[in-house]
Amino acid sequence: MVRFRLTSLGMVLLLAACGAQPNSSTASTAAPEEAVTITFWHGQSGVLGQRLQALVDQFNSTHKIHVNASFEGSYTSGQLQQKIVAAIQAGTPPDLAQVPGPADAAQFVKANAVTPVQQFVDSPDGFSASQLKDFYGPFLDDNRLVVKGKKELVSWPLSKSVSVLYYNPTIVQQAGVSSPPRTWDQFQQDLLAVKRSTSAVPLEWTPDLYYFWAAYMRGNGGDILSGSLDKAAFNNDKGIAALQYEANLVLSDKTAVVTKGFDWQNDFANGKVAYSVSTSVSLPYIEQAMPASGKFQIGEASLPAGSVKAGNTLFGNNLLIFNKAPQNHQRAAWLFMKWLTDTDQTVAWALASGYLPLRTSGLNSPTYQQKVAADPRLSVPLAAVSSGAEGVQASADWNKIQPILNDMVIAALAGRKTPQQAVSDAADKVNTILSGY
Amino acid sequence: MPTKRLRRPLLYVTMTVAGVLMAFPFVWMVLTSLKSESEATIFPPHLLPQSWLFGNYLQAWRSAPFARYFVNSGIIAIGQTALGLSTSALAAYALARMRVPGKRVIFGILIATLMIPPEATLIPNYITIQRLHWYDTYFALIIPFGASVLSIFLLRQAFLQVPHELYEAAVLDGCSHARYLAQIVLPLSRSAVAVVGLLTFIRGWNDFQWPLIVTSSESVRPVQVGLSIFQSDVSTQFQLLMAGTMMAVIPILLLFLIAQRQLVQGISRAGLR
Amino acid sequence: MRPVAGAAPLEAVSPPEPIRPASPKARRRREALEGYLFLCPALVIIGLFYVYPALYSFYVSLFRWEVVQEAFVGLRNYAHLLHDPDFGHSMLLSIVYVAGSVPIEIAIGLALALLLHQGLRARAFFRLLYFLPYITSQVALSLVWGWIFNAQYGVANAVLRLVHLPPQGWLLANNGASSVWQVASGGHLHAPDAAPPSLALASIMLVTVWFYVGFHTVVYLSGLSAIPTEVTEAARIDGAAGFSLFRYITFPLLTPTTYFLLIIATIGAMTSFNIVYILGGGGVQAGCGGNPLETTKVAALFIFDRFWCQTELGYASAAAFVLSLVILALTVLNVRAVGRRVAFAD
Repeated sequence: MVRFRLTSLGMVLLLAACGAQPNSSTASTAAPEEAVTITFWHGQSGVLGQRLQALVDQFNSTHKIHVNASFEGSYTSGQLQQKIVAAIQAGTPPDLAQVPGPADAAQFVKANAVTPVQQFVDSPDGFSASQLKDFYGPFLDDNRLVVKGKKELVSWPLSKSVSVLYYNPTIVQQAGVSSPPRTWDQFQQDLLAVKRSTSAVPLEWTPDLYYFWAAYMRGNGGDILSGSLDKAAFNNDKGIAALQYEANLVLSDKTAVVTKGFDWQNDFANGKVAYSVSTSVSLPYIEQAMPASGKFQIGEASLPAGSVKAGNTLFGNNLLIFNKAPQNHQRAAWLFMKWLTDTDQTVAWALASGYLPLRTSGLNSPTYQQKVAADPRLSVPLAAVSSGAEGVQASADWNKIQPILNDMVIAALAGRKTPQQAVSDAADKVNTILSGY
Repeated sequence: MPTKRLRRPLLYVTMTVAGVLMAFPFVWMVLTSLKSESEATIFPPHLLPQSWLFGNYLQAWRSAPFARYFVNSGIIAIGQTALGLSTSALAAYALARMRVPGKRVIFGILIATLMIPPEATLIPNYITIQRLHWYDTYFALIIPFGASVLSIFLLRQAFLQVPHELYEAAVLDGCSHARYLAQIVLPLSRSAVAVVGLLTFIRGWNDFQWPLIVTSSESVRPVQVGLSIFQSDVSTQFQLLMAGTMMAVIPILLLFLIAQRQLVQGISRAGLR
Repeated sequence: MRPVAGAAPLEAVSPPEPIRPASPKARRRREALEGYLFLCPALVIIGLFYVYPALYSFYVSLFRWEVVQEAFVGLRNYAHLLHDPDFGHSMLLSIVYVAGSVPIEIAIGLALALLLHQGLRARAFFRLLYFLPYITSQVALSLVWGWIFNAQYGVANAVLRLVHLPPQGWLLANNGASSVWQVASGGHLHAPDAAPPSLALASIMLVTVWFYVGFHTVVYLSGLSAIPTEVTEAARIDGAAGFSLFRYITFPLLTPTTYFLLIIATIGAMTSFNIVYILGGGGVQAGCGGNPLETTKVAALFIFDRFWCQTELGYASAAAFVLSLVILALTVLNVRAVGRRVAFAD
């Protein structure tokens, strides 16, 4: 389903190289680069892996530092974590690795295996406060964890995406809906309208705690864990209402159909579905799955808002430096990370991968603006980010909590438990885990 | 007897039905490897490709250094098979025919190791590999699988079937255990040896997880790891993945065709008496 | 009459003392040393890469060990396991999985081997066909099966449609396999029935059987070919034919093979991971723990989840150890059932 040609990355890189100077947006580095070779483990296979490697090659050819990047297992299926955990056990972690999110970073921090990047950000190699503002706040927040009592930047963002609402404009118009729903209630009405006036499936998606229980709950001011990350905070009317909403769509309104994995994409691409919820990265893949005869322009919008905000969720992956690496390796890793997220590179990676540019200067760069002009949908995810998107809470126990919450959602959607019961059961389990057994 | 006349055709029919059931997903795989990207995932699914894109194979081959990967797979599989057969045959013979004190205990421990789930062995083996400085080398890929309890088990069963009178006769001729094993027992157990060799090779050829764990460089990675080039976070290029998988299967198919004869060769006992 | 070469070996007779001038004691010692020498290479490798990890694993299981070693907790992980309903459920699913797939695998494998042994034409071709699944990468084939069973665009449902049967959720279906004729309505998820296996697990069992049948066929063929023709000829002369030939001669002579396959297949199924992970596992959204409602979370998936997704190495190691003990128990059962007529040692 991937259609990006390597040539388009080549063109983008060319443009980037001919464009602004590489380090124009940062302060001059204190000390010159040392020529070291560092190891970088990542979980990008396939086409994304090739594109990442292209960026790495570009770095290697323009710097004294040499980065040995290798694919070490998919980061979405646990393979990369497997290798990192094993390496930590053996005392031989790489210098730098890609990690899924704050939860995994939290685990490695707890294991005392990580050098938080804050020290590099604060060093002459880093950023001034105003320079740091160039990055989208939520992306950096996603990488802040409490270390020794202080909240600081532990990992550094690399790829970021956000949950969005996709819709089929033709079907939606047929149902008399003129614009994407601003609120959840509006969304429910729109789905019913689609069911009444068309033969399409109003909503088809693969649900889990993110799509969209957490979004609904956070949109109304609730959250999953308490601020101190030691208690469940969803066992209240906000959490129950969020679950009840979804359950209603599936079980009583019967406007929603549940699928597994990426299965909804095919139905959506074949024009059978009005709405779906997924990440901003999915867009090109849905487009590729469209049959030649039935192509249409997919609509993209932020998730509906609750009373407080639209509770969009951040996804993607981050970069992490291990403290077993020698000091000069660590610094080299930081310099590489910094380069990789510099304006031109973040634009190149965003355009090549479907993830979002990490900085406002990236959004505003001529290259990206050109793309936005050609396809205004590209600005939707970033707008969603700015309106208050959050990633998962950085609890080291998150990987244990996530399946419980997923089961809770599925149990309610399958009608096996009432939302109240499901939430209560889940909260009990979560609290047991958080208290340490 | 009338039933006898029905028997043959019935057998053929059964074999064919079984063959279709066994081969069907495989056929699907082959056909998918010749489809275009969107055709591969269309619904309702088409059986035959609209246009037969044999170029998919070329594209798959070019997507990654598959020549190197195939060489590596070969080295790994052949290494494991050669090493595995040697160590297992020796051990199986000792357990079957030699008087070794503590034999039963040893055999029991070996069987016990079969029951350890692979998850539990991953980390300690990784640590061992690192300590031996074998990370990212062929040693790490071959040696850990250079002995297999399964092989020992199977070969031991086969060796036990070789009649003991042969040994007595050999001893009278001044034969040592080693010679007896090499010149009498092994040839008589050809079928079992072929099975063990084939199964070891297949396991080594198709292994994905261990090579991924103990290597980082393309220069030692096998084909199975290389096939991950067709899958990324958000999508899978099914048609290329199937083409790549087909390419990976062909060497094993050839090996099986060659080994088949050994597998089913009956042993005529007439010459032994 | 001497025991026939191909018969299931009874307690083997120890060879008579050779006519040699060397003292029997010295000779025995020499043989023992030689025996150890023969065993050495295999034992070193197995000791290093199987026995040591098992011991290390047990060591880890005695600690609270998430990513790094923390406090010593003795057998607390094990106690926790015994009270963990998820683990109990996983073990149950594993046993269902084994009971449902292993006997069928072996039976079909034997049947196919017998078919191939009949000397029919084109048997080499069919031999290849039956063995094809086993030699192909499990990952790729599981993906194909995932496709076939896809509730929306899979071939399985397309076939059902052809014969006017309602489509099933297959790998998503948590309703019992026995209720396969229930109409799917509304969403694609159903409340699970009381007893496993769910249709999802049953589908995975089907794929497992399909995948491994070739292995059993090949091993049985090897066993069949080891039966000397004189034996079957003698039996035929005595009037045995068809089924009785099978029952009284062939099958008993295959006992060692059956014994071997039963043990290996049981152990394999209990630790089996690849197929179940791809067809019934979660990936990013379900957090690698098994499909929604976890009716496919066999023990191997549970352990994988605890090791790498929830990163509780101590707890996971304990679970792995308990799984080993269960497999040991099952193996002993198998040995008792079939092993009567097979020599375990000289």
